Amino acid sequence: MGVRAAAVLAPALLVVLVAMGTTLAAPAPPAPGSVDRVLQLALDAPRVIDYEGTKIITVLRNGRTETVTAAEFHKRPNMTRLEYLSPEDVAGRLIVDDGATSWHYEPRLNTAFEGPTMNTGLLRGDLSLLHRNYRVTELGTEEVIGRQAYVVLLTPNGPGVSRELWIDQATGTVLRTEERDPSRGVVLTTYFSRISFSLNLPAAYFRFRLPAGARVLHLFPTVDEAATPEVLGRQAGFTVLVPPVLPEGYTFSGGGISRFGSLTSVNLQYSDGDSLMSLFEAPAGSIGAPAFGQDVRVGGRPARFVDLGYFRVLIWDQRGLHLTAVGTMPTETLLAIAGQLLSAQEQALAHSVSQQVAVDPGTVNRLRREGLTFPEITRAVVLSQRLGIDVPTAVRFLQGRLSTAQLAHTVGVSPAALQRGVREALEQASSVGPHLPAH
Amino acid sequence: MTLNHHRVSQLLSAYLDRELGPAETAAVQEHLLDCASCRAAYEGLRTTKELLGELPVAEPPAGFWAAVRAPWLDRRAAAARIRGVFGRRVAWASAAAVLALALAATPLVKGTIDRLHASEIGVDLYVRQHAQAMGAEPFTDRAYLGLTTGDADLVLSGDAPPAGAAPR
Amino acid sequence: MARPNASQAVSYTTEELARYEAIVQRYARHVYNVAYRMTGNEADARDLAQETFLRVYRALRRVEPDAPLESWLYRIVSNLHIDLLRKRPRGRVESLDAPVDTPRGELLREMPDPGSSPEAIIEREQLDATIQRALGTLSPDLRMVVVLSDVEGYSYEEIAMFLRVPLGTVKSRLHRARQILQQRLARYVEARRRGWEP
Ligand SMILES: [Zn+2]
Repeated sequence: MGVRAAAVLAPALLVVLVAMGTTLAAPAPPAPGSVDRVLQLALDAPRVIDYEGTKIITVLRNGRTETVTAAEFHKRPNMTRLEYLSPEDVAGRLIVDDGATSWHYEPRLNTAFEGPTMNTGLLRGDLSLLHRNYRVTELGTEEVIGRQAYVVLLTPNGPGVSRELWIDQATGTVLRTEERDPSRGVVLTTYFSRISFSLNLPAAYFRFRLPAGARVLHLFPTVDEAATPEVLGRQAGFTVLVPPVLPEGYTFSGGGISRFGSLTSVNLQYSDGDSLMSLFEAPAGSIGAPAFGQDVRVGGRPARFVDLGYFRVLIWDQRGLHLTAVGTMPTETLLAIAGQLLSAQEQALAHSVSQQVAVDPGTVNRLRREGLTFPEITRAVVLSQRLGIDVPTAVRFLQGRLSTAQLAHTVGVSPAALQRGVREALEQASSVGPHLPAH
Repeated sequence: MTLNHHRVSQLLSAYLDRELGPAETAAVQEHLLDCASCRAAYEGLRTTKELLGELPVAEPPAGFWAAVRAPWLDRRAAAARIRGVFGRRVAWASAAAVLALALAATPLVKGTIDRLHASEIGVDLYVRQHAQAMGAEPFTDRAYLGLTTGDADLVLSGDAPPAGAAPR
Repeated sequence: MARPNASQAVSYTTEELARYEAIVQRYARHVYNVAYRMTGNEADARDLAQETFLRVYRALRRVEPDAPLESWLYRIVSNLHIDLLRKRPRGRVESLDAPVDTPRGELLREMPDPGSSPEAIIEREQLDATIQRALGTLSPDLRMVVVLSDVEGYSYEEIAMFLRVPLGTVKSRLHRARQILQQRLARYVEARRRGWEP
């Protein structure tokens, strides 16, 4: 593909390539700022220290805020125990996650729910996707429950929720978080009202023992993280729809199939390094719209919008499929994503993108079947052309599966130079359609 | 209006219940004067209706009132619901649809049990999966994730109403 | 976010709980009665009625104050009942009131007369039990219509609305149901017509 692409390179692209040559020769910019080190400290903290504390969660729900209290225990690297204390309807709830399995026990019902761990993120150590899609600002230091904390603000480049973190200077533990929705203000706050650190909490805290006579429900979706929409569609027996456009920075991060009763759903996940959007697809005949939420219209067609406060859900039917999008992005963004899916002329878009970035349509179609949006494809292609790497490598890098350092090593430039080249390539790619309409 | 014997025999129940229009009522009356067989059939239906109407109102067993007044306390019912996750909550789905008066596309056709059930729990099932997947993001709050998945579990097990089913 | 807040008493305000209590007072006896006539036994009737009210309780906030709930309640009972029958098949279920095709056209299948001694005829309790057994032989659809009409006294229009079926369907189902019951209860019907009041 590289040869072919080079043969049809637009003059503008050549100019950019020349410019990049000068970039690579320029002196390296200053080393990553202290704010990056603070974020890395927070990322590493769960792997180096145990703690036990009381956590207060305040979350928006149906226009009201609700406060929940829980005792939170953490054992390095990836074990969690949560004992919910209030309000009354969650009091007594216990969650024990040993890093492989997550148990939820509800004493009122003497019922336990067994599912996959929710701690997969604790072992991943890469922030490159987050850095690419968020402006990271240090707002100084503040005292939280008598401890000195760095205050860091993560602001998405696209529309979406920004997050403020209070990071303990001594341990890196996140003492407080605040998530702010541009349209609705603070939607989620969590903080420790008390915390004590330890080097070794008893392992027994993190092993779930089933109480006598308890009923057990198993809730394991069959998730195959490496699966592409094409593979998932074959397994599920229908053609999976891939969103043509998502907000800037969202990249395909995995997919799976879940079966619940007779309901078979395919799940596509898109991450921007801090937030996640999930798209669920099931045959239209196997599920109806829920009896609650608001009726909305997407591209002139009926859809259902369910606002759960923090999460927002949009449901619509399309081409014999029942689609459900779940995320924290603004309502208008969710509607725009659905609108793009509904109106997309797949082949026309593929043709247009392949023309604009000078790549063969086969490559575009293949990347679509792998779950990439058109903007992602554009970025991957432009980046591969600029850096002289193959498209799959560019995709891995854009999806955060290949760090800046690794890619810089592969390409043979300094990480700083690579970052600058990437920035410019992405800027160039952003001028190529399609886009989500601005609100 | 004149109605033949067969037609009248089909209308006798409605006649008995005064659910016919004036013209039909008159036509049935007229036929009954002439037709012994229809008179006998009418008498049989009338007596049957009478017998049913005389059935006493069934007296609920001990414990019924307490359980109905405090449904959240009934462990037995809760256990039964959990056992019957895939069966017994169907009527609730259709009932919820009626109350919300907004459900556009769910025809209440028999044999759509799973479909109805799925529409009832679909949002929670998906939100649970979404929350689980969010565990892969670096700075997600785990206590919040636990709360979310825990709530969804209760809906999936039949112990709580679906997310978003509360008023806004 | 998805905080179900209706699973416990504490989540509802005092006013809401008072509204629930008012609904229970107004409807629970009728719901139990219909459930009992549909299922024919105390245990199932209790389960059906309790489950019905649990659903009312959960959906309380979506119930408009003072809105008539019969329609919703009887539909729940009806659906739960059908569900119950599905879950508990008694061998091969053959609908006794399904018309049997014969060369001469439609013919209703005969049930052996469940009545016994003359003394039984004057025993009201036994009569009730017999009627209940006869009701039990009807298909759920026919049973629901005849219970709502002749036991609970609703009009065709109301029943059509409750069960979401056309008026004509109510009419024909009710007529069929009564014809079948009349045959099954022939001995009692005859006795009453001749003036042997039980
Ligand atoms: Zn006649």
